[in-house]
Amino acid sequence: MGIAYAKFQEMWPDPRQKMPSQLEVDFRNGPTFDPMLGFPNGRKEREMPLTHDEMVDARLPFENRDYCAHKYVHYLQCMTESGFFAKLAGKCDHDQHEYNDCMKEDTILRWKEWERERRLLERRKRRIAKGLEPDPSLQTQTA
Amino acid sequence: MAALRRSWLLVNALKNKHALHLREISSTQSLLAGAYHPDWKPGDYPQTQKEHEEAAKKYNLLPEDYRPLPDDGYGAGDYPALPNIGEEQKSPWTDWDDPRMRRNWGDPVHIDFDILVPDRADPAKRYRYPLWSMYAMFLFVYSMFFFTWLLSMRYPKVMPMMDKVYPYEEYKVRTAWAEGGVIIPPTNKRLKHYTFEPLD
Repeated sequence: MGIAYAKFQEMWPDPRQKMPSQLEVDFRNGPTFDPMLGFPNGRKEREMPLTHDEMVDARLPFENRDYCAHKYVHYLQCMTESGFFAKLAGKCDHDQHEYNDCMKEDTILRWKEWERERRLLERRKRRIAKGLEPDPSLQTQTA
Repeated sequence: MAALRRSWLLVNALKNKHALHLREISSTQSLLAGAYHPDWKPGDYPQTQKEHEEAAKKYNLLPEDYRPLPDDGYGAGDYPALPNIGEEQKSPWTDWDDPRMRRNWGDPVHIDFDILVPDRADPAKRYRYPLWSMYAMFLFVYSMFFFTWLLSMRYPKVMPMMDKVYPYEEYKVRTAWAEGGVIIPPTNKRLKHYTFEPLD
């Protein structure tokens, strides 16, 4: 097993350095293309109603400090202020629904980003086939 | 090498005894199973009435009950054709000579007696439900699954998406191993992210 390990190390010294190919969608590092490609007049920015200081004062967990943090904060306030029977009767249902709607919009945007990336990569493949762009697989790697 | 020598010895031993006859079997394990005693070999298919009566007497059957197996090339000479009743179907309460086989001394033995047992070709096997009912139930359930699959072909089962984005760079998901051993502390910069609505 030591021989296999050594050979593997020789072939692929650092697995962290696996760069995603320029022809496959990489969901971890995010989009690689220019965000304004395809939008001649530009795109609208996503709005953040809360500031960083407000999020810190609210002591939100890191993974909740996203673009839906304002809805989440309203929901949390409702949950802490209302009692058990109020929650059972549905006091915080409206805030919960608002938060879920915001998360749904966020998910849809994530789907759209992936799909945009995929279509731009296919366009790049077509351009490579026509010869308008260089083929990344032909480039030699520098050590 | 050892198997060849073993089979040669066994064949020679059997031949020299002059007690057993061998069939042309190549495997050592099957040689003894294929060997037979000439006294217990069934006779030829009875052609005349006299042969019929002699064979019936040999098998302890009345001549009107004796019926040899059909002579179609697969038969066993004058061996009788007995009803397909296994030993498990016979009564356990009668005083058999051999209670395990449920057979009295001198009873004729079915030619396939070794498979007419409950865990093999059981002649008393019955299905609980009629066959058409079983087929119909299977088709009903399978058609439900098939119909569901047909409906599902229109919709994707996997919807890949990009990672979640955060407005302030203060959250790192990856471990130290992924970052090269050291996690660089994040700067609390405000990052720009866009929707898909164009500015008009």
